[in-house]
Amino acid sequence: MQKLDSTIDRLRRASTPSTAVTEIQSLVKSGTPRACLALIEALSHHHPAVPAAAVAGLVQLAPDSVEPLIAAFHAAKDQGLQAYIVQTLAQIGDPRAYDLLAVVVGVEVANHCQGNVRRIAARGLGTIASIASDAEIIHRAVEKLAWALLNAEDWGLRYAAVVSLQEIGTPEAIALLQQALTTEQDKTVQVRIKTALDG
Amino acid sequence: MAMTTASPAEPILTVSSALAALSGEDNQLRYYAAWWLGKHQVQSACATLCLALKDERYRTAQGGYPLRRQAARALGALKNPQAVPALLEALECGEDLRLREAAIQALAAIGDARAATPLLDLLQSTTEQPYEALIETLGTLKVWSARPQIEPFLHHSSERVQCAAARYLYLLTGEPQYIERLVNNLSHENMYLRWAAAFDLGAICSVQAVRAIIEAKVPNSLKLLNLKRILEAVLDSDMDSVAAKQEKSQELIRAIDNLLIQL
Repeated sequence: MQKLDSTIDRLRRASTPSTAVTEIQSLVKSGTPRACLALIEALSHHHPAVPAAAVAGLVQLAPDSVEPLIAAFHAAKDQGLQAYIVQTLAQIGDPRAYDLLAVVVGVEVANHCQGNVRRIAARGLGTIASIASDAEIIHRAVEKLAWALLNAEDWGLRYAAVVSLQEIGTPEAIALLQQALTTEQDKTVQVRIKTALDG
Repeated sequence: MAMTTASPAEPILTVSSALAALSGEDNQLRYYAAWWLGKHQVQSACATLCLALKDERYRTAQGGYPLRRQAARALGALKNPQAVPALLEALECGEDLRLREAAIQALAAIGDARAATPLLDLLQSTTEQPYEALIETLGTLKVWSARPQIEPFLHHSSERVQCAAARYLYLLTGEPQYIERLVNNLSHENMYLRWAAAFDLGAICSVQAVRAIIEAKVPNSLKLLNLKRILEAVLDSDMDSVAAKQEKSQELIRAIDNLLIQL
């Protein structure tokens, strides 16, 4: 326990990004729930190498990191921190993050979340539904992604929805891709739909 | 709308109607016929299009030869090596630089080594040349002996010509500094230059070009947009075979897919 405390302490006081990254890696090895909280704290570090290492660490610590990440998302006031949390949860693909990611993808054509964060959340829904065994979760993810594919203004969000629907690959997801092929106007998204259907 | 005395234009639907229109009286229709023959890659029209490279009947007030230019573009679309001697002859027409440019681009599309020496001669000429097309074609034809003459064009007054030189030098050396020159233009304030840079990068699209963009110090959304531009340039281009196009676009799609989960 003492060893863990001192590692966390060294992480907080790290004077260079590379020492911070080293401490993050030893925290990941310790594999304790408290390490998760310290890694979440490191997501706010100003040097991009540190949050990047923390994201990778939190992915490794899943599923223990999932609940603390969701709680931290709701407590966070900073959009930058929230963006890293969404990125981490999207990579983990735990069904408990479904509601959070679905809200980030949105219910309106434009919402308050930045485009890149919405794209990541849409990819996260694909990961969740492709791992999930719960048919209900899969169906809800497909519906949310279909909404994004048919309504979003941002081509990147529609493109992300295509990749996720391909990853899910249920008959329902494929049928939606076929439907979108006839209406999609953007050349890049269209070629991505064709690739998904050929694959 | 003003009435014209043009002959009643029959729509061109067949090879024979296109060939008839090409030798007809209506210059607009002749111009359209040349385009049509190229668009449909009518190989049997090759000799007729070569003759159209010497057309005297259609001239603009400025002295240009619109039909000759269009015939050159059509021959480029045909990619028929039999057109090379006629295109090389068309290069000699010093009165119409846009014709020369179209002929150079057609020679690039055909990809015949016989064009190398005449193009090098043009590069070394002291008169103004369509440098962008000329340098691009020397790169496409892999005429690497032109390197010393092309390097100074990195500092040419036209950014388009600079990019053509960077493209040539990148194809020759594979050095990242040259591709970065093109990547920088992807965020140029001038829309035409952005588009042209995407087109250039699409033409030389390689693992390295994609990597240069991914590693560029620009926001992720800009990287995505640039890869999208290049992908669309690749899809629109008719320089590649279907298989090469497929391979390039799949490479770009993989890169876009991977960027989606980056912030």
